[in-house]
Amino acid sequence: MPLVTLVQNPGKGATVTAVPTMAPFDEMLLPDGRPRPDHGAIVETLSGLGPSGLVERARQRDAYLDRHGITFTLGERERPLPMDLVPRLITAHEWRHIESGVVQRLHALEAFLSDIYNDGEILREGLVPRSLVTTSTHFHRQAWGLIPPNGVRIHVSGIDLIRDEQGAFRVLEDNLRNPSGVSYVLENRRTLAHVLPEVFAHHRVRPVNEYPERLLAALRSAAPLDVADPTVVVLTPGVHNSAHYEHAFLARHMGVELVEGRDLYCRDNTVWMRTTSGPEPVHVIYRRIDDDFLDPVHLRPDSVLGVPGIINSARAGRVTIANAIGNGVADDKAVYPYVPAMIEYSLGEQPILPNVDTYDLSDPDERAWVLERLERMVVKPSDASGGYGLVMGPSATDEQLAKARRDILENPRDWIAQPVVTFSTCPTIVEDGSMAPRHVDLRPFAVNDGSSVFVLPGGLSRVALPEGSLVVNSSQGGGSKDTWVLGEAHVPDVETPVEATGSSVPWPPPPAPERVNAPDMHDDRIIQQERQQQQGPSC
Amino acid sequence: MTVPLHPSDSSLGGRRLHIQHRTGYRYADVVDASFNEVRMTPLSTDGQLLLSHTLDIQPSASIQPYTDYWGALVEAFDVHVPHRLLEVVSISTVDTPRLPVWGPGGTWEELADPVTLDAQSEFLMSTPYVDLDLLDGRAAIRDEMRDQASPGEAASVAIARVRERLSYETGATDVSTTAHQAWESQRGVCQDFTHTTLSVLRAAGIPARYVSGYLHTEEPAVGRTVVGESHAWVEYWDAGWRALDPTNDRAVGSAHVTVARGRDYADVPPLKGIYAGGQSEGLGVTVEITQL
Repeated sequence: MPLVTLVQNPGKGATVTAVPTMAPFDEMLLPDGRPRPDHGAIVETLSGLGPSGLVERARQRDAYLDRHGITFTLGERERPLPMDLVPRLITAHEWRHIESGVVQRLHALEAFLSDIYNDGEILREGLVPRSLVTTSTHFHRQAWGLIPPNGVRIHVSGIDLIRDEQGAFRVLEDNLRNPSGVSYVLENRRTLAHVLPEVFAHHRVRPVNEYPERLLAALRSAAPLDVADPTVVVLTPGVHNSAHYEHAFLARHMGVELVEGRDLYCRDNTVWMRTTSGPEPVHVIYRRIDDDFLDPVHLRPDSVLGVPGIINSARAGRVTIANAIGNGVADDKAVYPYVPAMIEYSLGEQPILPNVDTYDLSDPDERAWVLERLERMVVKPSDASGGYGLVMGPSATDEQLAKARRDILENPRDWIAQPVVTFSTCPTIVEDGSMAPRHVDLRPFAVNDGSSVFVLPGGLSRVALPEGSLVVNSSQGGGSKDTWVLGEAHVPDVETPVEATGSSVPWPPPPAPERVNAPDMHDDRIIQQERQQQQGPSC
Repeated sequence: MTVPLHPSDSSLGGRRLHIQHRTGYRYADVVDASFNEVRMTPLSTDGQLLLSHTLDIQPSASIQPYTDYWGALVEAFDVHVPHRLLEVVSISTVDTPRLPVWGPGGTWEELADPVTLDAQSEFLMSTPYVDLDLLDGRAAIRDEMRDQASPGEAASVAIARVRERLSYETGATDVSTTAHQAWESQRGVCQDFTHTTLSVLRAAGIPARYVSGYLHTEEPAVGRTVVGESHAWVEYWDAGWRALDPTNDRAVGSAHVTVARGRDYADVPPLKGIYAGGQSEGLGVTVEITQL
């Protein structure tokens, strides 16, 4: 199967055998305990407060979060999202790398979705197995042939990154459906500025509060082409949803209506909103309900959360659904190993942010190899997100491992396996007010308005609070950190237009020339320069 | 659209058929809004040519046409006046092809080729209607099929065994009956014959799809209006798609009109819709076909 080799080479890259015994990379401290460059001031300020000072600030933080009703529903319980007082810093240099890598990946994923919901060229070419797409639970044939007015399907994304033992950023998973958490990015900043203002004194931290404005602009530009002043709404499943707080937050900050399915109805392909002053047409629906519940005409007929007829309204070009229906096929974990090949195919570029090694369990050889060392693997269901159903080999019981083995053998397509990658750590305040390393990931949020992709300088750093834990999902009890992207130390020169314009990168990208002699993918600096040169003319 | 009335040239084997398909729902209570999709437009495909098509809806509604993932021509409409009765009448004129002459079929090796398997994966999978578990004797049929020299011969075995097992009987099954249930009950209509045949074909490794359409009389009947059927049959992949009609064991040709293809009935329902309200009953289906 030469195809598999072609696809896996870029993803597996130079570190096929990531050594699990290596010490994790620490975001703030060097191995000898000294602060990393740019981190000196923050370490000093926090140390100056001492454990008792930090415990006091933690009390203030809890009171603040409680007063502002910033909560997350976990199971039956509503609780404040645990925000650690130690921020996570990303240098300007690191951010340029992340930003260009996220934008590159989104270009390729947009091209992939556009292709499989229309022409299917990428499938005919054999780049991604057709059967992988057609067996994805999120491949919605109802959305086939549905072309978004400005071509965008991934209006909002949250691509999860981790940092491996060498400190290299890698993509852990793509979230292209309804990624949540951006409200915490904004709230964390506000909270930290309130309870620990002194830590900001010595850094130029890039602001995050422009997100709602950027999102609204992107949603407006996604509107049907003949609408001059589009009406945008946020569609929520209701107050019982775990992310309802965020839905309300975004609607409030964008200044648009927050609606539920019953507030909308379709008539002759126009979507109307019931208001006290009569029905009003709606042009863009930022929906935070899952595909399956969106339209009982085409999807789950028993759904009471959705709006009957909304898919055919979108097909008729009268309303835009954001994110588009069926994006989940591109963030299916069994499709994820093919993303590096998509990047090469549609952009003619090497991936800037590599994948984590991933084993295709429908391949008999790889499956056998994985089953032999399951206790050293992470096994994940291919169609789920949020850490549900994940089996962490090293900490799993024999029973859990036996079940994972049975599940894999029964339905290999439904599972993927990855070696345990030790994410980076960041000092985090623990019970007694002292600081201890805890594992973190990073979810940068990106908004595509059809002409450029905006990556919010910040993102959600999720932290696994129990010692040694690698599971950061808030649905699994993780916390978060305020995430700082530091400003440029000097005025950027003319050859770096990406940061000179703030943070928008052109979309769609200029056509990529055929690449020969592509540089080795793990030499980030070379790749980054080449990307910037390519983007130069259109900035 | 006016269609010149040429009597079919029977020497060519193809027929020009005028088809009127009438169906709908009666609701127990007044319904304020219903959303519906119709798949009743014959395709222009494989020598079949659609000459004209109209859809009449009562109460009247504006129609949004589109082509779906499977290539079917869909007419979507929503009704927003209070109604107790929804009636749709689809009228089409179509030229059917003569009986196709197929070349030699392929081999088992060709069907096992990874490229073919990947390309036809959707027509090899189990679906809610078409299970691949093959309980109660269907597994033996699959084994017998695999013992045949070629997929073509295996397909003939499939048809023969399904016809031995099932007797044609209306009312014994309904629109939701699965292949497994039909096989258990040993009775069914064309939908059940088709689902059952699909299950053994796919289990034997032969890609197979569901075809929805119409069936005219076996012999040409120019100028006479006959009661036709909303029909279903099978196409299987054997170095090209080949059609089989397990219900009638007839060659698929000039009497068959192809409307839609998919994995099973759920991909091709002639009329489906949702509404808010109490019970509904189908109006039944009448199909009248006149050979021109």
